[in-house]
Amino acid sequence: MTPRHATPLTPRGFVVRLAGAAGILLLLLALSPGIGTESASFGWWDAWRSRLGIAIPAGELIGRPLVDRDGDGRISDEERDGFAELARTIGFGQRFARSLLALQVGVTLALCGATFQVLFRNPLATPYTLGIASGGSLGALIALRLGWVATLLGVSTIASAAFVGAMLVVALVFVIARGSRRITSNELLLAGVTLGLFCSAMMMFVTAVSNERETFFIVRWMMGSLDPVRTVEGALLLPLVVPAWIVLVAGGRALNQYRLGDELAAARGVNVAALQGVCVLVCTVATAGVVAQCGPIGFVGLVVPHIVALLVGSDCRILLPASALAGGAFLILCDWASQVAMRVAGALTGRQLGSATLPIGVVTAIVGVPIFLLLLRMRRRC
Amino acid sequence: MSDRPTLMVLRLVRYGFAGRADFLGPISLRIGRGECWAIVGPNGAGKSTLLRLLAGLLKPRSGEIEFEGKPLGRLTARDRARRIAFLPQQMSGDLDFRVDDLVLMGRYPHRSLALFESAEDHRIAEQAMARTQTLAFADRLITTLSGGEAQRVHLAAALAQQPALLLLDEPTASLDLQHQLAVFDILRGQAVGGGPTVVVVTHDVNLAARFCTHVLLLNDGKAVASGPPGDVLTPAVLEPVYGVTLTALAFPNDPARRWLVPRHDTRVTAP
Repeated sequence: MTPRHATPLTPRGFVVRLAGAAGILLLLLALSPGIGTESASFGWWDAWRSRLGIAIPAGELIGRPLVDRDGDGRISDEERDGFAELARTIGFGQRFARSLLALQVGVTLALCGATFQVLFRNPLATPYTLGIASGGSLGALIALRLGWVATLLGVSTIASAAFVGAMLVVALVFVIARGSRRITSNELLLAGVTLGLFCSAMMMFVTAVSNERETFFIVRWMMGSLDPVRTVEGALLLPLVVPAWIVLVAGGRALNQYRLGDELAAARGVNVAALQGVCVLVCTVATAGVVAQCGPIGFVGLVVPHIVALLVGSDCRILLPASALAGGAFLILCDWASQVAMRVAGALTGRQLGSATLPIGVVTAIVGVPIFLLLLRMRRRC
Repeated sequence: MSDRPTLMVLRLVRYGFAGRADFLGPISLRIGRGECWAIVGPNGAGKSTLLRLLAGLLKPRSGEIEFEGKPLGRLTARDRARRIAFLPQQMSGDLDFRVDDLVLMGRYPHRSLALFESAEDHRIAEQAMARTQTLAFADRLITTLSGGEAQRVHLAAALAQQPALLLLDEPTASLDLQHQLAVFDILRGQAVGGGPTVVVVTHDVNLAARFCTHVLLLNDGKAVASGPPGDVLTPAVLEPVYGVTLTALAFPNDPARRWLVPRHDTRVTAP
């Protein structure tokens, strides 16, 4: 299977190709108030009507569980308003906010993954290649172990420590690899991998001297999680990730030149060092923000760009925004699966399962790995 | 030679790096518009380094390079890229591009802030492909082409850049005889036919003699000789540089031209 390459990119082709992905994403967001762990039985349309102040006819609610509280077979105005209130609070306060966060995280990880694959000229690069994930996790773990748990100005100290840890590790990687002049050199990747392994070892050390509660926390942290989330926390992520979205989508043409090699790009007027520096900076800040908020959610940054490249071609002008939109959609879907999976499994086995949600990192791996292996096979065949 | 307007002048240009501070130079050279220069010389003579100095990718340690009457180093990267095209010996990046996309990318310096190419860019790219006879595989991936076809595509991208000066580093190094001739034929046609002035690094002295208007012979970072091929590419000049005995064979159909062939039975020692 060869990548599909349409005729050279025109503004119209750009809009048409992105409009489809954007449409799917909007549809998912529209549906999101209706999907979640809570068995509250209202649909996405109920939540939207309640949110938009459209009255829900009482007749529609007859027979719905938990609506007719006094069991008189009729829906009073009070019961109807109670239902609307529930649909609005859970639908938007929890589910929609959660999907918005999944959107931000998925967009950022896929975009940064695609960028790193171009930047390092390495198809196996991920947003975590430079050690961001393990650095962030170690930072979070240290903060927890030192009992440094508080919330300052809406930001938890654990998230702050994770952010600082991630940034420190990347800075250290660049200091160690400073001797090599090229960003594509193996020194940088090796420094990233080595420091990542070191951070993992340090995490084992800290875990070994931790109590059960802390150990449980760090295990859950490493799985990645989109909950608990409140809208304010999701909004705090925006200033960290939006610069990356803007810079990387605007830099598509320069990145295309970069793919031809450092020398040719430089001869075409691209400031290669500045391009690399800016891209690494915005990606690191954005990814560190995501890791601090949600832990290291894997496979999105690796798998999504490769799938998207097969669909839209590898022109960075379309590859980067399309990867971003697809990453957002992918993570929303994985998050839904993580919430519904336990309920389905519980219903099938007839047992009460421990946790309400499956860790998101488990779902991205379960979905992502088979797709990735399938793609590898398809690539080999052509 | 001096009747052509000057495009580029090098005055006592030197270049070096850590450990080899005097690697190249001093070199003084004048390149006129419409000329087709070949830079020849043994491996490690500094040919590629000189080409990168001309491209503005390296800065001379001392001396000056003047391009179109202005110091080359004063041009912004974008202005320089609009006037000078450079084709490296090997494409180091990944080439997962369609042929027409790759040629269009040559237009980048002219509209680097826009996200898309204009209709004018498409027209210029198509002309460049017509000139290099690459239109036939416009919709194919560059990775599916033969080495010779791919090199013509890279050449088309460089022409689409519409430079005043086209610099190429061993463009025929891995090509078969037919494609070697095709590439040099295009280069000479461009240079003398109102297209960009051409400077090409090559190891093939016979191709240089046949297609180029001027030759610069480098050895150990110094300019040994420069001028018309007939003056530079002679056994007397080349033998001490290459340390090989050469025989000059006359062409049957053009006795004025010589074909240089190394003799394996005798060797002279390099100076």
